[in-house]
Amino acid sequence: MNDVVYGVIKALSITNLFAAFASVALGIIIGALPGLTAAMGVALLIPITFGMSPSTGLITLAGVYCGAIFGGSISAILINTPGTPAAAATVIEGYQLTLKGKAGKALGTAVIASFIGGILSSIPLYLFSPPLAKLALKFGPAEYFWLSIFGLTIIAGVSSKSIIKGLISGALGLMLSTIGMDPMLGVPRFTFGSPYLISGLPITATLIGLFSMSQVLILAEEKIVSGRKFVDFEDKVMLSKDEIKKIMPTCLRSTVIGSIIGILPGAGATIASFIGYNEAKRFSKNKDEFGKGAIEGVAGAEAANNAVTGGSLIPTLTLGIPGESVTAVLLGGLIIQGLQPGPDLFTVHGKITYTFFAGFIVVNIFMLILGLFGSKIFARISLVPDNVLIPLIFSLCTVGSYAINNQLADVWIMFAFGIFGYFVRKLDLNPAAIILALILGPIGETGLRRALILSHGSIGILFSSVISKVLILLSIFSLFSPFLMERMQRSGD
Amino acid sequence: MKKEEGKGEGIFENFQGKQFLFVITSCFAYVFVVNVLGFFTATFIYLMITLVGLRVNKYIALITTIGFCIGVYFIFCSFLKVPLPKGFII
Repeated sequence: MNDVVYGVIKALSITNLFAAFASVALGIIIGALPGLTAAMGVALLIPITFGMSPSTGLITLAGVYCGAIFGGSISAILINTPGTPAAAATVIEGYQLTLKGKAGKALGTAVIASFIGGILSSIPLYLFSPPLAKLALKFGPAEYFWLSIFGLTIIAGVSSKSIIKGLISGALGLMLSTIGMDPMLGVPRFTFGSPYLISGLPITATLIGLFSMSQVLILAEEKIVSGRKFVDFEDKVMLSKDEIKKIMPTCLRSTVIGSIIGILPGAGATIASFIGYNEAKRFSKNKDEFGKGAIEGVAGAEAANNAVTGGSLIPTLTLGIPGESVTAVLLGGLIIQGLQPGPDLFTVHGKITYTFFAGFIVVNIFMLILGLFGSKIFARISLVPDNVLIPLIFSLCTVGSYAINNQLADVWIMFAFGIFGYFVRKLDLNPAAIILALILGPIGETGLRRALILSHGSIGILFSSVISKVLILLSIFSLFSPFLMERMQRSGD
Repeated sequence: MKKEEGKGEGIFENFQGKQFLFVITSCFAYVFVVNVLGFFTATFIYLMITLVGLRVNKYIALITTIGFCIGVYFIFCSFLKVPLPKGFII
């Protein structure tokens, strides 16, 4: 309890407030720029947070995450292009409102719904994280092995477009994770005699390459559109009391949907926003408004995708299984700070974790303020053309990958993974699954080998405990969940 | 060239070959010289060449480049004290 109070006080320190404010603003810009995604923004910022204290660094990453998920709605509403995939459902009603001259209303709804979704999702974050982390105390080597298998099946099965491609991505990541020192015997593997690879692939450089530089290449191959324009609007962003009353039930429903989808590892903000939108439509009293500009539709999508932020942090922090690509990247940032996900985060590092949680709430408050008063400015910034962004982002990729170890070798690794990541995206493989496998690979390998040493080579130990059995069942379930999801979506229509 | 594009099931639809090659070459050259020339010199040259090459107005390119270098200097060097690649110049 002391840690909780300490966290709130610490989160209100000037440094942390400033970090929250600046990172939310940056996040909104990244989200609003159609070519840039939340995951690439977080990957680029990890090196910057390296120089900060752990809690400030984590707040910064959370600020970018939350800001970017909201920011996507600005370009969705004003230029009919989702700034991030998570805002794809916002386009449907948002742009219709803009065409009717109610862009301000649409933005106001998006901000308020995002705020409600985001800030309420901190409740499950506070309530469910500590008990889940405690559960991890009971984990032995065999359980850790199955946990890593579970994590892999989740991201391979659920969040990839096809299971086969998801599994290929996971396998690629596992192969990459074997580079470096053997965890049990200390023999260098696949290092090609290079001293740079002895401690494995540098995680930050790999992240920046896979998520940020590959994005630069994707932008570079497309025809550059200059002079994008957004619809200027005159009406107020602030909603009236009646309108807030009107969207409130939708916001609350979507918050619950978003938080649950966030906690379930695998399904992310994009899926949540579509489900939130569909449910808003199903429960609405005036269904014929939908498709022609219903503020409830915007609220349904935006509350849901921002509620995912708090929910998806839960499995990431407690078990080390990130639910979506952004939290997979965020996990990298956590590890760089020397923090291992699990029970330690709530005991030994309790002060840092609870400062981070309180910071998460502060971040959402700044998001509300910036969204209500600065939407026009952010909309204008989002018009920066791709040909300006390309070299600037690449330069930041270079700075970022150099900064962690002060080695040019890391920059080359970033470069190689940028090209690798470009083909990964082109072939529709899943970069998040690769990164996850890279992080979970060593955990699974060490778990398996330790378990087998304990049991003198008998594989019975892997199936002995209840937790192991549950994890095995969950893994099988998550492999087949895409079929279930498809069926659910069909029945939803 | 057009026949090739058709083969990839639309994966490389609208692929801007020249532009892509230009970007990747300039990026490669940038990483190659960044440790020789130093971060700021290399970045200045790289940004100017790439921006102008991607048909950004020369004055806007210059302002962006200078603004970016100043921004990086303040955030990385004086605020966070994160080291940048150093070379013969700066």
